[in-house]
Parts: sequence; C-alpha cells; structure tokens
Amino acid sequence: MQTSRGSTGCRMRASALPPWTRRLPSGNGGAKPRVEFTDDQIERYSRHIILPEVGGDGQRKLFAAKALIIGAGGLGSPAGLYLAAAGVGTIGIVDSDAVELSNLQRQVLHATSCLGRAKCLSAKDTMEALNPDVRVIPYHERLSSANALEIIAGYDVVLDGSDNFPTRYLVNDACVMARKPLCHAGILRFEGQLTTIVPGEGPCYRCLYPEPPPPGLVPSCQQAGILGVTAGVMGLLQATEAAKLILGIGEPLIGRLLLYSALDTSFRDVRVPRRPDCPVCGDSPTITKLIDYEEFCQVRWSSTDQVGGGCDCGSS
Amino acid sequence: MTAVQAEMVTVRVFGALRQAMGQTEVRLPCAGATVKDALVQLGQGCNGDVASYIFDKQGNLWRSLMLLVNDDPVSDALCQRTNPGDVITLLLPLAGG
Amino acid sequence: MTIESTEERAADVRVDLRGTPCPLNWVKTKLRLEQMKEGELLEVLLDDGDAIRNVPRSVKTEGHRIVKVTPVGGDFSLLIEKRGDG
Repeated sequence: MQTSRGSTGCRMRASALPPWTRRLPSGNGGAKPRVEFTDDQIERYSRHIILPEVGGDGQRKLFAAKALIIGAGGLGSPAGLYLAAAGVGTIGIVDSDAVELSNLQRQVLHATSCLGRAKCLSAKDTMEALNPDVRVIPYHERLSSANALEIIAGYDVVLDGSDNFPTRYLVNDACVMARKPLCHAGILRFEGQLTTIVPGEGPCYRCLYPEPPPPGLVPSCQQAGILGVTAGVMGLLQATEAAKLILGIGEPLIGRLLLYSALDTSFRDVRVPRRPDCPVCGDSPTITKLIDYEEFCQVRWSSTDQVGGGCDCGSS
Repeated sequence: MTAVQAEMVTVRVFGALRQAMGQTEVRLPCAGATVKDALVQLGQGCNGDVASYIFDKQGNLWRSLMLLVNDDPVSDALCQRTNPGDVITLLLPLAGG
Repeated sequence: MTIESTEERAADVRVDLRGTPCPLNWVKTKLRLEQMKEGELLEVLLDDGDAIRNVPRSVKTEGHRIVKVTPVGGDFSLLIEKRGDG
C-alpha cells in the first residue's frame, strides 16, 4: 500500500462558513489538525465518517474540540455520554455534588455502585470507559463568579445542565463575556426548553428572561418532579447543538427557543430576538463583570406579589 | 363556527403556569381587547395563583415571563389589540437540569 | 503530443481493501479520497460480492467518478477519480 499524497483542502472555504464556526478553533475552515485514525477508530467512528456532512475531517474536528458541561445530572448525563461516544476529545464536567439514589431515575452517567461518589468522578469513569479516546476533566466544585471565567476559558463550547437560576444566569453572563457558545436547556415535569447562545450572533439568556422569577414561583425538579426520559431528550438535543457547532453543520438554534412537551410529543420553536438594551450582550452593556447571582435571584424578592389593578397602556 | 367562537383568542401556557392552571391552554372571548386585558381575564377566571404568575403587585408583567403573540415576541405586546384567532403564549423559564 | 486518457493514467494512490468488510471498505476509501486532490486517481482492490456492489455506489453518491472496474483474479480493482475539493 502506497502512502497517499496528503491534502489539506477544505470542504468549505472559511469565508463561506457561518460566523459562529469561526469562533470554535476546531471549526476553523483553515488548517486542520492531521490526525491519522487507527483501525479501531475507523471502525468506532465509521457511522460518523460515512456521513457526507462529517467525514474524516469532521471526526478530526470532534477530536480537537473541548466541551464543558455544567452539571453531571439530568441534562449533563445524556449530553456527556453522547459527546463522549462522538469522540469529543476533551470534555470538562463541573459538579460539586455526590450521587444520590433519586438521581438514578434519569442521571444515566451514574450507577447504583456509585452512590455517595462525586458525580464528576463517576461521570469521568463512565465516559472514559465508553470511549478511551476522550479525556474527561472533572471539576469537583460549584461554579461561581470566582472560578467561572477561568474554567470556561479552556473550552470551545459550554453546555448548561445546571439546576438553578443563579447558575444559569452566571453561565450565561460568563459565556457572553468570554465569547463562548452556550447550549442552554431547562426541564421541568414533562417539558423542556432549548436554545443556543452564540455571543454576537443572537440573543443571550437575559434577552429571553431579563430577570429570574421570584423564589417559589418556578419549582425545581425536586419539588415538581421530572419525567426521567424528558431529561434524556433535552440533554441529547443540547449535545446535538454542540456537535453542530463543532462540526460547523446544520443550523443551530440561535435566536430560537425550542419548546418540548412530552405529554403530547410536541415540538414548537419560537423566534427570540436579541435585545439591544440587554445589560450583558446589548449594544451598551452595563454588566461587564460577573456579579453575585444568589443575590440577583434571591434578595431582590421579599415576597411573591399579588396581581395588581390599573392599566398603564397608553402611558409613555 | 359560531360568532362567539370567532371572537376567541387562545392563551397557551407552559411550565409552572400549566400546573397553576391545570391545563395547557384556554380560549377567551376577548378578541378586540388588549393582550393585557386578556391576561387579566385569564387570571380572574382561574384561581388567584395564576394571576400572581403573570403580574406583580404594580400590575406589571413579570420580567421573568416571556410573552408571545402568534409565536412572535412582540415588543409592547401588552397594549396590542387582539384579533380573533390570536394565540398568546406565556413562557416561564425552566431551571431544572 | 498525446494526451493520456483518465483510463490509461496510472493511479496516484493504491489501497488493498480485500478482506475488509462493508462498510469499513467504503469508510477507508472515503478517508483516502479526502486526503487527495481533485482529479487524482485512487485504485482500490475489493472483494467480490457486497464490496464491489456497495463501494462503487457509495463512491458515486459522494460525488466521485468511477473510471474503471477491472476483474483481478476473483476480486476487483476499482479506479476512482477524486471530484471536489475536500
């Protein structure tokens, strides 16, 4: 067998790539890392390589990509599993919690034998056992204003699988400030929401929901419950968005919010514009440093308000 | 379709509002009224909890609530007049993960 | 001056995929084509049966040109012209 003459030709010229792909180092339409596949890798990733939209070049992009998953729970578990299976070369997992029995109804990265173990370490073991090509970096700590920018800096794309509003606003703000694409999903009972935030290309989380709801208005999964498989659906959709960003294919959900309802198996997506006056991603940002998100979500609300009277329609 | 049915607007809700209302959508005979009127009517027709999900004490829409008219995030939607057949969607964020 | 026809040109790269099952024979063919320039010729040796039925179809679906199929003993040689850049 003769050695082939190599070519670094690109499938698409860099100028033809969507703008958001140019933000991912592995999505750069220029020089590609020339990784030679082993026979095992050719077999492992054959179903990817066959796809015209992926090919060997796409698989190399996945190898070179670095994805950060916030939370190794209901969303992070399916997302982490499938990104590992796909061969995303470096996957960070941020989670300060330990595996509990109530997790196992949906958090498929963990097993009964892992009860009491740090979730990020349990996740690492499962993902690396599934695919030894993947390096999983566990962060056994809570994401905070003190560490978020430093952690996010080392990654190409972030997936928010957290379970509380302070962290969601923190992750959003940090990703906007660090110019990192963010695949956001949220779940409750039988529903899910999904959007992809690419700073400079579309709205951020604050454009959708400028303020968090008052404490108690929106229950947690712990309080209201979650159909386990609904977490699976949404986590996989998050991973799909991340894969599309890494590969530079398809149309990510930028400027759109996907609404999923498991009970009637309905998917609906709505347009969500960027707000020019958004304090974080707007034309003149007023929030340029990470803030105290617990305070942002808690202290400003003293009690849940009652409905009021009067209409201010017509007033300027 | 009867004349009354033709004047209906639909309010479709998601998230915690579904639990509060006990249903995913409701039809209201208020075409021609403002969006805000429709939401006030929604709150009055259901128990008090529903209204508190939509308006604060000053009667303003919670800024944590996304309001869409016919799947479009219309600015100043509250003052917009509704048309027969309009669909008003109320979304609350979901924090679960 | 004579111009060599594509059929007469020697392959730029040769890959022996006899004994490689489907779809890995196509995957390896595709990976090799990705590394070649437009117009270059790849010769692939394939088994009779599924291989010679499936791989040429995949080659054409991917947009490349089958130049020649030649029996070689009980197997086949497939000559492919790379089309498209990347």
